[in-house]
Amino acid sequence: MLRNFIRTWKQFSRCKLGVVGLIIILIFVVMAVAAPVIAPYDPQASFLAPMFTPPNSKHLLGTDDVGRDVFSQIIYGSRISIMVGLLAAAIGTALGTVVGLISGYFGGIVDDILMRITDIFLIIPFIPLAIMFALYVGPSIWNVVLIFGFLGWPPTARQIRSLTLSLKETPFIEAARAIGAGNGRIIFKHILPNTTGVIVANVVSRTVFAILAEAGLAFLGASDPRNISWGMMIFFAMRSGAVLYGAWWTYIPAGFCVALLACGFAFLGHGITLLLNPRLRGR
Amino acid sequence: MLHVTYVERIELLDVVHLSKYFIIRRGLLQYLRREKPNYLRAVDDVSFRIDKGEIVGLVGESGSGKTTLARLILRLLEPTSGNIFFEGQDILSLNNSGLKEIRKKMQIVFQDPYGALNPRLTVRDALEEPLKIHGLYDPKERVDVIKKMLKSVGLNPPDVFLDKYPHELSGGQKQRVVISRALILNPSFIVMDEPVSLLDATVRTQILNLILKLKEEFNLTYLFITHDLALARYICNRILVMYRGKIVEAGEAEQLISEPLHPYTKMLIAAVPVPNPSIKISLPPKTGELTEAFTYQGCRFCSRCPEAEQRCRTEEPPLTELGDERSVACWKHI
Amino acid sequence: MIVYLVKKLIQYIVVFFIILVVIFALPRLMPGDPADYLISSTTLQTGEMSEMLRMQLIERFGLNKSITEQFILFVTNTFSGYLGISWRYFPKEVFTLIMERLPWTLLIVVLSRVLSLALGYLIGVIAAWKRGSKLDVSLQILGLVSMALPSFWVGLVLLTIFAFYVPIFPIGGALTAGKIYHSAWEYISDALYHAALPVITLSIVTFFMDALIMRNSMLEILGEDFILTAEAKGLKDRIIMFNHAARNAALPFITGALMSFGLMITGSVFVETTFSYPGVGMLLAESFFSRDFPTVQGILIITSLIFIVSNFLADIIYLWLDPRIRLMRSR
Repeated sequence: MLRNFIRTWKQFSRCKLGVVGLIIILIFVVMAVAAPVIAPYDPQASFLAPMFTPPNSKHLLGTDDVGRDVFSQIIYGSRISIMVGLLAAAIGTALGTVVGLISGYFGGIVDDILMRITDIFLIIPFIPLAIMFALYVGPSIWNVVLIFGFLGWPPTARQIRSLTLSLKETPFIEAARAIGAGNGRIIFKHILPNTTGVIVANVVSRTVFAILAEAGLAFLGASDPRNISWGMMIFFAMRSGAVLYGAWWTYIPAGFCVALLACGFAFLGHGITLLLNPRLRGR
Repeated sequence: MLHVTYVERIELLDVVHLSKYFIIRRGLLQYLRREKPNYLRAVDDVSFRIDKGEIVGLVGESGSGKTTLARLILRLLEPTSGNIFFEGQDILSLNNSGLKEIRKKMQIVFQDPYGALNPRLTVRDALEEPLKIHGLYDPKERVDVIKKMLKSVGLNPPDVFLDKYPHELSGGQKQRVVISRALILNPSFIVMDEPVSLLDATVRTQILNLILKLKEEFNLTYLFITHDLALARYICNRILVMYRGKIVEAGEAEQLISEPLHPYTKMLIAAVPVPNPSIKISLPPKTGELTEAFTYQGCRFCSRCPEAEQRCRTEEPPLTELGDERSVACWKHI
Repeated sequence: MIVYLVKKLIQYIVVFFIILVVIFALPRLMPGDPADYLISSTTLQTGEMSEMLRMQLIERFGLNKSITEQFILFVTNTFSGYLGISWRYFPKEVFTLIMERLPWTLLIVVLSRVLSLALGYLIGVIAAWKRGSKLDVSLQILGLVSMALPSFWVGLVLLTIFAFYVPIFPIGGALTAGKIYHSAWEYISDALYHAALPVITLSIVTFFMDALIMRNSMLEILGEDFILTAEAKGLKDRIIMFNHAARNAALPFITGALMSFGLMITGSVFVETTFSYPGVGMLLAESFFSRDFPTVQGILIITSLIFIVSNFLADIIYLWLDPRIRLMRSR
């Protein structure tokens, strides 16, 4: 087990970009976990200073429209982005994997139907549907998680399905049947473990999208004001005229964090994809 | 060269009129026109018997249906028609649990050692799995059973190999693991589908000798599939020659090769290079390439047959026994 | 080939139908009176609605009829262009509202697509030709980065720099408020002036990906034999690059561009909101914020339609352009 891990790490670390991504993510994770310790103030505490105070020694990133410390908000905001991003991606990928496995393994009518459904979902434009959904469900940070769960599975399903199809033809699957393994065992003990690479790559790349989606929806006001995420910060900033006021610290850093975290996952995903497809390394 | 004198002939496997037809997918247009679908007759009305202790060779080129036949026997594919009796039991009528039982007695070794092992499983996992599936032995005993098996296939000392992954093994070692996996359930019958054709020449001999040794040690019966006639001659007691889904000739190995009857068999033998530079190989002229498709009229071989006659094009010769373990499907000899 | 297109068409129709079903079902599945979602809002004080008008609207939407009848009414309404009445801009019809805003969105989307594609084409070709160079490598990295950039943030950065600190461009809107135009040219230039930042923002976000796609497509073509022949003939690098390779590589590029066009329309939500640019995207954001259900629904329907149509067009054009298939047809 450990041997495997070390070998995989050596291979992965050849792609510098992937390592950079991992480092970025780790920094944010640390930030999220250690938030209560690192943040100088309670992010919800208002009127600590006059509104829109520029960055100074007491408030590293100044204050927002109700006098809250921006720096603390940023630190606590990382929790939401990471949690929502990963959760949404995980659910979407899990669903997609199940669909892909079943579709690829059993084939026939089941496959046809599932693939048709998948195609249909791929065509539905995400943002308007997400917004309408958020409209009905109301402001909540779980919006993204739910929507991703419902809409995020098709690409994964496709990939897992084609992988399953090719794995199905390999001799070791036939061998498994020859020694008496049932379908369930074959799917979960033989095919699934050989798809972990694709699964991980999918989770990571969906996380990028999920982080952006959460920020976007929050920016439009779809999120829960009780948990201030980075997107929400920008939302409040715009609503309160921070732009006109020139209070860039209320929105630029927040957006930068969204971009940085998403980049981290994007780089990581890049590294993982290279790991899986040695062919691409040359390019 | 192998001579086996049968003291007692116990029938192990009896294949009766076995067929497997694959439907060729039609386009929408043909469907609407209600045209009858075409079938690919991968295995067509094949009958033969294998007795306990024999090594029967199944020889044919690619596309002859030998791989399909192997999978039919193990019920990895369902036949279109026909019967298969193993140890007297009709295995086609078995339900799932009965089938699982039979799996312990019939096993298969594949051609490609690289694909035959799950890359995520260690040798130990791969060998333990069949035991787990059938609930054999105490979990603590299993390791010993596995080690013993590894020793039998020549992977000594077994501890070294237990935790290795397939990619850490050489081709020959992989095939040994595959063989040991086939043996671990203590089967009486093993189908070997070209077990050495993808191995290096030196390794080939080792594995072949291993296969023979194991036969004696564990009292096994083999169906040995190969395209290599010379190999079949070396290993097998009897040989079945297959062409495009049908058995065209069968007989005792030595006899079949020294006195072939069917034109196809003759062609195969003539194509085997002999290490004597003064003997020139003259292949019988091919009178035509494989005719296409799915028109099954007359003898399958007639388009390539140098001895074809009018009758061959219209009537299909049945596989006829000529006595003394010999049978052939050719109008010239019936 | 026709069969393929027909199959795709059916698929698209099914998708659209499903979207309609979802839109139809949602208000009726939610707890509470569907009328609240469709006609008036008890939580919003938008306009006064007399009891009689409310009854009239209930009639119009058929909320007092059976589900099947409602659905049929819904579908017929939709296809005849009646998408409901906006709450926020009461009593304006949703359809009119959307149609008013659509041209502005189209303006910035089309402009930015053209800009992004043209530059992307150029850079992509050069990057592919000079594979492995600094340009190429940085393009790949930037392409990855641009996928992770939130478009509204980019817009905000640009806004802050160029509208606030260095006031070259206006802070928002499509036209200067209250301005009187003395000529068409004045009108156009004012519009362009206001559209500049949104267009640049959108272009930045998409440019790298466009260039990357072109680059990858080029690389595949460059690997083929006929390029070798061209080189052997002694043709100048630039000619080979553009006349031979790029032409062939452009095919998947063009179809990708067409498909992304549909996507862009929905993606412009963020950029428009950032710049207070009165397009469909901003309408969506506003309606969402003011819980204007009918408008949100209407936008979903229209944008889905646009998206589906542009996808279908892309399919057709791809088939038409691909010379291999064209030749097969003529055989």
